[in-house]
Amino acid sequence: MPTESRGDTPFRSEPFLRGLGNRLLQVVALYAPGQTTVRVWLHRRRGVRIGNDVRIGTDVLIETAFPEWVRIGDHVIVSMRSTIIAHFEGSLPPVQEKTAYVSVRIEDEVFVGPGSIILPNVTIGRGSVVSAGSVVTRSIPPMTMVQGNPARPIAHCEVPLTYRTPLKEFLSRLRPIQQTEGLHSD
Amino acid sequence: MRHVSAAEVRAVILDHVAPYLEARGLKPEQVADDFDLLTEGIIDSMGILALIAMIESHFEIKVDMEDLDPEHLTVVGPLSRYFEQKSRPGAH
Repeated sequence: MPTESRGDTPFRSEPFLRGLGNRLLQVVALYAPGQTTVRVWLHRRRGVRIGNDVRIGTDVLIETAFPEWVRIGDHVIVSMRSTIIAHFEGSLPPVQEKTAYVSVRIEDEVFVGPGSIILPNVTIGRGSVVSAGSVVTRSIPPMTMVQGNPARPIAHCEVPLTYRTPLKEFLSRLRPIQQTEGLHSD
Repeated sequence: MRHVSAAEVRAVILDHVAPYLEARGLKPEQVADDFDLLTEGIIDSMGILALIAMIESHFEIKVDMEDLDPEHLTVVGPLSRYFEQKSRPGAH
């Protein structure tokens, strides 16, 4: 297997046929029907680690080159046109760690809103909500709602937003975070 | 904290969302008691948080909303009456 060095990080290029297969499955998964069945199965075949009762919307792109670096828990909703990126060129883990490596962790009962972008090396805590169009650049604590680019905490969630949760019940159990609380120091 | 009437709360709510009502071609006096701000596209999920915070700040009332029926959270009449009830002396 070809190996080359990029800075301090040993880099192993992706096998061509495996990469081609992964991408074909990804393309089919973009628009195949079956948010709880076919799309989930296709992404599992690609190597994405996906729990039970997960919903993947239309046009969701999950890490092209290293899908096995994405871990999605149970009862998660990934809404349409979301993108999950698990690696940046130049910041890859050492080759010997690649098998067990996880870059993006989406824990149980997380809701990822439409058009969100999740960048590498983040954990989205259990029951958290990523508002539509947000860009997640840092990890999110459990039961927290985030919004914006970069995504910032705006509320604590007392109930997770699963497909069983009525929207108004979810909204009534949100507790806004004060402006000085939870802000990142950018 | 002073006692406020539901009409006062309603006026503040509708003033807060006035630009969005206007965008829908509505005047405050045309808004019915059962007008749902969320389903009518006047506020979004973030907007309800801002609205509740604004009402709390405006009237100096702190609520936890646990005893408010979630279905009424975004409906003008019930929401106004909820804050009126919470502003009564001795109310929690």
